[in-house]
Amino acid sequence: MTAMNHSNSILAFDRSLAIDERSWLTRGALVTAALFVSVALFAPLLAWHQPIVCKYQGTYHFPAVADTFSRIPLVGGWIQKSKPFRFPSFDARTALDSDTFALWPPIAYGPSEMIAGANLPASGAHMLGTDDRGRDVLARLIHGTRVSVRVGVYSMLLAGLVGIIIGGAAGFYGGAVDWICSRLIEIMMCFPAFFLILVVMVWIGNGVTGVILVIGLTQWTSIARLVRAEFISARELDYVDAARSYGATGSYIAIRHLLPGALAPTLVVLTFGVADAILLEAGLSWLGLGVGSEMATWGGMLRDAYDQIRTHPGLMVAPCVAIFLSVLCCHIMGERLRRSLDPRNSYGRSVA
Amino acid sequence: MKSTSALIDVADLSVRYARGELPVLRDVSFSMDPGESIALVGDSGCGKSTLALTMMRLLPADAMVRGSIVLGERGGSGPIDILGTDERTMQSVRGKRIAMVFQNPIGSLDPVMRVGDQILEVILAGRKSARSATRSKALQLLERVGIADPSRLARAWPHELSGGMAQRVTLAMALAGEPELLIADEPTSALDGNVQAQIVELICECRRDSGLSLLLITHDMAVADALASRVCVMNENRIVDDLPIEAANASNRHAATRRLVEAAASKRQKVAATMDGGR
Repeated sequence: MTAMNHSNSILAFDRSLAIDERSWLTRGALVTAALFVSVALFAPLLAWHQPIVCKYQGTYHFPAVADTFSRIPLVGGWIQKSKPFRFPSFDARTALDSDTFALWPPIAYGPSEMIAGANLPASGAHMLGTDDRGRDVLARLIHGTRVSVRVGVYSMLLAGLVGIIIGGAAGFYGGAVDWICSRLIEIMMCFPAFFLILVVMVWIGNGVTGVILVIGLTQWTSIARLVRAEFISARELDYVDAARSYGATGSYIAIRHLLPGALAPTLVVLTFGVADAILLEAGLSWLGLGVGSEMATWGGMLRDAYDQIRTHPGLMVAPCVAIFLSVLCCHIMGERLRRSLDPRNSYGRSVA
Repeated sequence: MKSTSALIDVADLSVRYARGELPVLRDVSFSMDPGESIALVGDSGCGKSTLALTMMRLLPADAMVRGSIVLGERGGSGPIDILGTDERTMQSVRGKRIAMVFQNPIGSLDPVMRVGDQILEVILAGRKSARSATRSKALQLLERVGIADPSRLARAWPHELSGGMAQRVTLAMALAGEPELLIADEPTSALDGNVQAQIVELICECRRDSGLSLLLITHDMAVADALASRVCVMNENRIVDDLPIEAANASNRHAATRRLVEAAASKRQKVAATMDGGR
């Protein structure tokens, strides 16, 4: 009887721990991640050098809205900013009179706009102050989120695609295909990833697409190895034999039976991978090899702040907190996913 | 390839693995008539399951097979040489002409797919029919294998099923393609006694309903007695006896046959003794 009570109490403790974790830590991570993604999606509505809505020469214009939605893939091409706001030389701030109607974003400065004095402390107008070139730190932080989220998500989608195809082919076909794919994975893993990325970035030059491609095409090895292992272990299971005995074809088994089993652990690795990609991008931008200095990025902000770390150390705080929070969020979500995606809902099964 | 009226004709079948020293099947020959039910009995490791997998051509790639397996003609299509034909033909044979039920019922189900979806997949394989019609057919199949609440069970995950339930589901999946021959590889060995009897009863019913032929692989003569009219005894990778089930109890049989019959008899006595003791 005592033994039973003992095991019960352990079980109860285990459960309460799990529920507790679900309630605040996971929820907090999810909310923060959603916040990062929405900030990234709607950055020009939060901080921009042109108004959301304004009346200019008798007609209404929506420049910040147009800038937000014109970057959506596929449909964005149809959206065009109205005429005078489209020209880079047009300065909305001086062109609009103070008495014409204009609704500005909460932070009425663009990320690269040099309007105020340099190194201003935090104030009502600049909530996080300005940097050494007089740019609003919060506006840069908001637009840096856009780059980080884009790099993190797209590069991991690419890495996942490449990893699943190569790892899946290796695990499913076996034999010579497996040999070739496995050697390819090993060759990729031999290179120290960061230095490989550095060399390629020097070669192809700055740009968001370049960073996404380079990170995506170097970070797929762990996913490929995972998918390969999942396919190989699942291939030997009874239900695959059973599926073949019902007349299923090979490719059908790979897609319907092997892939779903491999997707859950892949998603977990991808979630952690987003954190790595954000860190990599920040590191590259810090070195000036990433997205390029004309765009605001967290890594670029850190580099600018680093130059005057003795005089204005406070400038380091905002990008550091943003990087730390986003990476932490990804890790908490990845850990939570790892537990909840297991159909048996056990705590024991771990993913490499 | 000879033409035959038999359902399936296995002749001089030998299997050996590239790595292995000894053959796993040696000169196995037998044939089944339509509607017949044969029990393939023998000790563990004597090649029973290999024979079943060979008949489905599901052996690993490094298996070397000699001999012939000919599946009889049906509905205008001529006899099929199982070992010689292409993979596409085999895919149309598996499930639709020969189906199989495996020893480990829960392991035979994909753990990350709901039970109902798995049955749908089997029904849909190679066929284009309306999703709703297929759904009702899946429920009918589940009802046919004795599941009281099919629509509830269809939503269950495999790990939520008991062994007996899972074996009913795999049987439903095997029957989905309306095969002529069901190969049941130790269908009751992983189940407890009470459920064993239910599954045996269920297979009996299915055979009565559809004139299904049965190749039952077992090491339990009691199960063979209940389900089969003929028994093939395997020992050391070959068939040593092939006789009607009643004759298996006669004394002038191969040593392996006698051993199996005696084992079944002593098990029956033991069970009876325990039950008496319990009273």
